[in-house]
Amino acid sequence: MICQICKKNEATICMVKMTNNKKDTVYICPTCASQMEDKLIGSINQLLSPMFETFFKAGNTLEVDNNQICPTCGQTKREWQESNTLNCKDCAQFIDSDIIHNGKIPRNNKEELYVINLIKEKESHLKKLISEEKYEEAAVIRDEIKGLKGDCSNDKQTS
Amino acid sequence: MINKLPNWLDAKGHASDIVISSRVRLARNIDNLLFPHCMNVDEKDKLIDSIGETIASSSFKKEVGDMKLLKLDELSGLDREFLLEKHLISPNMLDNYHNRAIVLGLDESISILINEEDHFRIQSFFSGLNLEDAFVIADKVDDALEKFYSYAYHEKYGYLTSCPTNIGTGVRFSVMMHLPALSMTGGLKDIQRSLKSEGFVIRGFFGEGSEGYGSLYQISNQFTIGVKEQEIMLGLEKRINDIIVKEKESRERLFKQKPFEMQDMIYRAFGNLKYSVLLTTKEGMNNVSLIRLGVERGLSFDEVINYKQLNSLIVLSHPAGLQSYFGKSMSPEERERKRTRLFKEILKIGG
Repeated sequence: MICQICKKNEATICMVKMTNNKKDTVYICPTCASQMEDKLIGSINQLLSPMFETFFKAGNTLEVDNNQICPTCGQTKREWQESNTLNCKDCAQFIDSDIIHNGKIPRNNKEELYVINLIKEKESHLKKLISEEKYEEAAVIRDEIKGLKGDCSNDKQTS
Repeated sequence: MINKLPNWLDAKGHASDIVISSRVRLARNIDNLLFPHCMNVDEKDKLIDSIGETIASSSFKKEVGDMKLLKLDELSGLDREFLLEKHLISPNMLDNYHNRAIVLGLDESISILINEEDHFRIQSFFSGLNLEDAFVIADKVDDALEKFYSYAYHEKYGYLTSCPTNIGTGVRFSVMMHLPALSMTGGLKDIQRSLKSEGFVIRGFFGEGSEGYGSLYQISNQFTIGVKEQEIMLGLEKRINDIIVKEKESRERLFKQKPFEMQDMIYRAFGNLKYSVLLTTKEGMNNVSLIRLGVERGLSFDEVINYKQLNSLIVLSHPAGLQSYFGKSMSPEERERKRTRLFKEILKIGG
C-alpha cells in the first residue's frame, strides 16, 4: 500500500484515531511518520496537561517575522527560538501562549491595577446613570473618576 | 555561621519519619536590568552591593529580621561546597560562583541567591512536610524585597524569569522524602509516571541523575503559570500525602513478607557503621537510609537513634560537611577514615 500522506513511499505504519467511537485509519510511510511524531507527542502531552504543555510552542509556530528584535537587549526572535531564554523583561514579547498568570501580583503594581479596574467599573456606572438621565448622581461619579485618574497618574510618576 | 547545620534537618513537623524537608523557591528579576546571564561583572557586583544595603536597612530588618550577605568569591571552596551540601546553593552556582552571592537568615531557613539564573531566588526551608509555613516566609521576604526593587512583571505572563519554565508565579515547591520501601519494590516507577502526568517531577537527592542515593527523593512542581501559588502547593501536598501512604503500605508488606531478610539488612547496616574502618559517602548514606527505615519500624539498636541524628548525617557525611564537622580540610583517604568516627559520634555507638 502507498503512503496516504506523501503518496510516494510504501506505507508500513498504520495509524488509528478514535473520536467518539468512530475509527479513522491512515496508512503512512516511516518518513511521514517521523515528521508526525513530534506533533503526535505534542498532542499526547496536550491531552495529559492541556493547560501547560502548549505554553512554549514558540519553536513550532510558523511565525513570519523571525527578525523581530527585542528593543532592550537586542535578542532576535530567531535567537529566542533557539535559546528559549529571556535576556530581559522585554523578551516577554516573544512568548506565544494563551495561558495567563493567575497568581501573586507585585503590590506596587497591584494598587495601579486595582485603580484601573475601579475606574472601568465607575465609567460603566456613569454611562448607565447618564442613559437614565440621573445627572446629579452622574456628576458625583464623574468627579470620583476624575479623582481616581489623578491618583493613578501621580502613582505612575512616582514609581 | 556557615558551619551551622540547617534547620530543615531538625526532623520536626508533619510526617517527619518520611518527609525530610519542605522547600519553597521564588524566582524574581528586576525590571530595569538585563537578566544575570547577560550582565557584566560590574553590573553583577553592583546588584550584590545594593542587596547588601537593602538587608542592612531598618525597614527590611523589621520585616524579615537579620540576614547576612556572603559573597561566594570571598568564601573558601570548602565553604561553598558545604552550602551546596546543605542545599542552599545549586550545583550551577558552585561551578560558576564568581560575582554571585547568598543572603542567609540566621537559622539558614531563609536565603536569597543573588545573580544565579535570576537576579533573586528566594528560598525557604522547613523540616518535615510544611510547605505552607515555608511559603508564608518566602512570600514575606518577597514582599519586603519588592519595596526596594521594581520586579520584571508582565500583566499577562506574571513574574518574568530567564528560563521560561519558571514564568508566571516563579514558584517551585519541593519536598524531600525518604522512600526506601518504594525504591526496593520498584513502586517508584508508577509514581513517577503519574506524577509526571499531573505536572510534578521526582528527582534524586542532588537533582537530576542522583536517583536512589540513600533512597532520598525530591518531588516538585514542574509548571508555574496559570494557577495560583496555593493551588500548586495544595496539589503537591496531596501527592506527597498519597506517596506517604504508599510508602508505609510498602514497608508493611515488606516486613510482613520478609521479616528476617529486612531485619538482617537493617542490622547489617548498623553493624557496618559500627565496625567499619573506612566509609564512603554513598555507603554511609545507604546505611543511614536502612537504619532510618528500622527506626520507623520500631527496631531497637544499641542506643536509641532518632531522626534528627540520622538527618544530620545526611548532610555531614558529605565531603564538605565532614570536613566542617572536624574543622579541618582532609584528603579523600582521611575522610573515609574520619567518616566512620563521625557516624559513631553522632549515633553514640562504640568502637
